[in-house]
Amino acid sequence: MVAMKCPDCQEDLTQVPTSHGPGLDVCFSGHGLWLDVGEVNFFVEDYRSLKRALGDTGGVAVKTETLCPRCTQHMESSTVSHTSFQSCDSCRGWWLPHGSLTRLNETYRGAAVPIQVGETELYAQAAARHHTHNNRVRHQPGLKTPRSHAQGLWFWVLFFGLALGIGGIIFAAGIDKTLRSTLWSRTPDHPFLYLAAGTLGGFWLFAEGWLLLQRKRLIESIPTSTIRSLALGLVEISGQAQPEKQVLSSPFRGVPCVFYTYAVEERVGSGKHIRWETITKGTSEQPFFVSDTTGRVLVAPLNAELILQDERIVRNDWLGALPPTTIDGLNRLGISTERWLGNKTLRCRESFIPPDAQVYVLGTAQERLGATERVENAARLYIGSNRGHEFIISDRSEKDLRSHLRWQMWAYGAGGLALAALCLIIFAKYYLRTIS
Amino acid sequence: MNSTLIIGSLFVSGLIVLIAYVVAVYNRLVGLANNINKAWSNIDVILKQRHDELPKLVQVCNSYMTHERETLESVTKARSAYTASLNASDKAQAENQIVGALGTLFAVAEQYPDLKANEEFVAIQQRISALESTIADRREFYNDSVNLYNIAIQKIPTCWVAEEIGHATRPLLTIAPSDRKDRPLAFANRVAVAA
Repeated sequence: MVAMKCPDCQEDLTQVPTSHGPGLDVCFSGHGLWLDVGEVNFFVEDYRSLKRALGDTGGVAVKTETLCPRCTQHMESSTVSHTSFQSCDSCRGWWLPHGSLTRLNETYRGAAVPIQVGETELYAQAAARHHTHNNRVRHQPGLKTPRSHAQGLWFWVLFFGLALGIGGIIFAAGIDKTLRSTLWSRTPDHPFLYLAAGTLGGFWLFAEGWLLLQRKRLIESIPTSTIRSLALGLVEISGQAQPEKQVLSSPFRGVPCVFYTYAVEERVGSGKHIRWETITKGTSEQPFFVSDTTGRVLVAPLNAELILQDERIVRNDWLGALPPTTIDGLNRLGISTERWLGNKTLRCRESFIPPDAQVYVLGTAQERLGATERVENAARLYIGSNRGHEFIISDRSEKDLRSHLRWQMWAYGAGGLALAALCLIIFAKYYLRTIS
Repeated sequence: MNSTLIIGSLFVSGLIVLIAYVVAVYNRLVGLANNINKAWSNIDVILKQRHDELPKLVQVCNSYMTHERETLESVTKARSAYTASLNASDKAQAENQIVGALGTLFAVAEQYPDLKANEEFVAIQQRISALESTIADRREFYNDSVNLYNIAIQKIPTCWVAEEIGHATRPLLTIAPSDRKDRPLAFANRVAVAA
């Protein structure tokens, strides 16, 4: 299909879709736009009056030299209500110079729903589409094109790859020159092993800090959804926690809650080798609701990463025995507090979310099995864990959580880097110097 | 200590940090850009659901609102515009058009007690109302996603990497100035008097 040309600048007209009806052929330079036969009905509310005015004395038609963009016949110039435009007698299309459509639209009003014509926007869209089209054509293979962004990226990847390769060779040569003859023949002594462990530990801490940074970035990059409009996939919500059925009790203190997590540790060993050994740990499995002002959604806390503020610890030692509620809780978990000679020394930790507490959840919204198609969007979804996605439940606000993660990230990242650097410096000072 | 080793170590460490930074920024921007695409797709899903309700609504109204042909036509026209729109910007415009047409339709429907009492009409009206609330929420979510992305690519030093790999700011979903105005209601009988 041959593209229509603008009668003024002879450039191709650009097709622009509209929200009012059919797409329009618009000059990207803003000279005017073309309406095919009947299309004026979509852009002028009272098109009957307009056509009547054209047929009556109000319409004055004069033959012009301008050729119709559709059928290349000579067009007629018409003026109606102080607005001039050109029409083709053959194909009955109209060429409206810039601003004419708006004037006709404003003059001939009268419909239940006003039709608003954003003519300036049409020209802007035409210019943008023309620009995009030109770019696409320019980037076709075989044509001379400027360096694209993808090519730019490849350039930098190759540049840094080469630089890294050269740097690596220099580094390897230095290592080889320094250590070749002596170090590898020595038997590693204790300080050397400690330094190696410190360096590896430092790098491990740094990696942990990096992961915390990624988690913080993830929380920052996902806006909080309203529960009413939750979509499937990774979502972030904030609201009040409410029990699904009945309120739970925390295992060791019996505090009412909707969710809890616990751990029981026993002191074992004697003298210098005393340590706390975890006997059991777990979380409540019962789902709970989170509600905001728009609705509520079920959260299934299985496999969630829990970031809870307060941890309650109950223990028995020379200061006193365990309270009865804690002993009941241990019994329910099948843990005896006694051994064959006296009582065990136990430390019971628990964290919980009380009813109506404000919670933050980042998890995967999933379809509830057997849920019927309902109007309420949240009623057919639940938030749970999904492989490859983070699942965080916290009783902190998002802001507090980000701040908490930031501190942790710096502690791990900077601490790890400092530890690794320190170990490497000591290594260099006490080993490499003596060797060289 | 061997100077070759020191130079090599500094060179390699610097390059590793630089490459890790560029990779991290690149990945972050890819994630943010995809969040925007996903947010738009999630609006589109609900727009489609509302779009499917419109023929039912027009059908129910048709038998009662015999004098409001133009009002019903405007809903149908707006629906067609949505079907014809290809990109997010056009769909957003078409969506504004549908909101306007539906607002007028529901306002005009107030003049027809029989229609208001019709159970099917009430059910469709409630469904459309719920879908519109969801659309409004998801538009806000979309704008939040775009805002996060735009902030990320305009910050120093991220903007240097963003520019090199071709990330540009995205427009927010906004209401057209014409849609911010109160819409005049022209009932069939009033039009008849004016004519």
